[in-house]
Amino acid sequence: MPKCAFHELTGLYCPGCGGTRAMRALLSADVAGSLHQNALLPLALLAAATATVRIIDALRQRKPVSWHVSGGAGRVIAIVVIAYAVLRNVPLPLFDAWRPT
Amino acid sequence: MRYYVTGDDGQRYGPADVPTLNAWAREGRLVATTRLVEEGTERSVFAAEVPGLSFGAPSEFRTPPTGGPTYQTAPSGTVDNHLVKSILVTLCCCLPLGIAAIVFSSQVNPLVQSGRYAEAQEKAAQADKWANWGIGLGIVTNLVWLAANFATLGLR
Repeated sequence: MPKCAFHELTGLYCPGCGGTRAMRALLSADVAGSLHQNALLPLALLAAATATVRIIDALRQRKPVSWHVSGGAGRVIAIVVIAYAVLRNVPLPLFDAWRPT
Repeated sequence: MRYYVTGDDGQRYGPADVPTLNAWAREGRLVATTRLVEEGTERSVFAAEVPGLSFGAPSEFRTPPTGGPTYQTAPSGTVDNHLVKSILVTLCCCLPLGIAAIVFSSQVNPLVQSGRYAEAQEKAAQADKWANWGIGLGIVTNLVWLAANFATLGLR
């Protein structure tokens, strides 16, 4: 696999880092391994599934695609994603499990 | 001043004057976040911004209209916060722009709730803009990166 440009250039682990490895682990039914590689993969899969359904729906009804999520989910997700991005880059052994391998 | 309304069915209604719009608002066909187009200038505004147009209590407290003609369904009253797109951009595409998109997106619903529709619309537009730049930049960067990788390493 070609390496990720962002990680190669910055050395940082972005919140999506390890996503491909997490997907691979999940396909081998290794849930714990998947969460270790990238704990946000379930969120990404949920977003991708929602987007797929909405895009098909919009094409059928000839309406613009809705990307809306109602309620307070946005704030929670913003906090979780930013916290994950920061913590997995803290160079302490405590956070080693948060970095993909 | 008269305004056009685009319904959920995509059809354009009007032009309607303010008393007519007020009647539509009472029937629930219009809500504060409905987009209207000013006749003549073609300027797009929120129903809440139209002088003289009022929206009373939320629909559940309103007495349902009795009799009279039936109308098409009301135009939708939410501001799309682009959260789904922002998450996908952040996790699959281009991190810094995606995070900016999520932060803008997360501010939309609270603003709508407190009735600040113009600000909500602005944050939503920002979220959409950052997410779209993220998609564009992500695709370009990755294509260049892949090409550079294959050029130096060869196809493996």
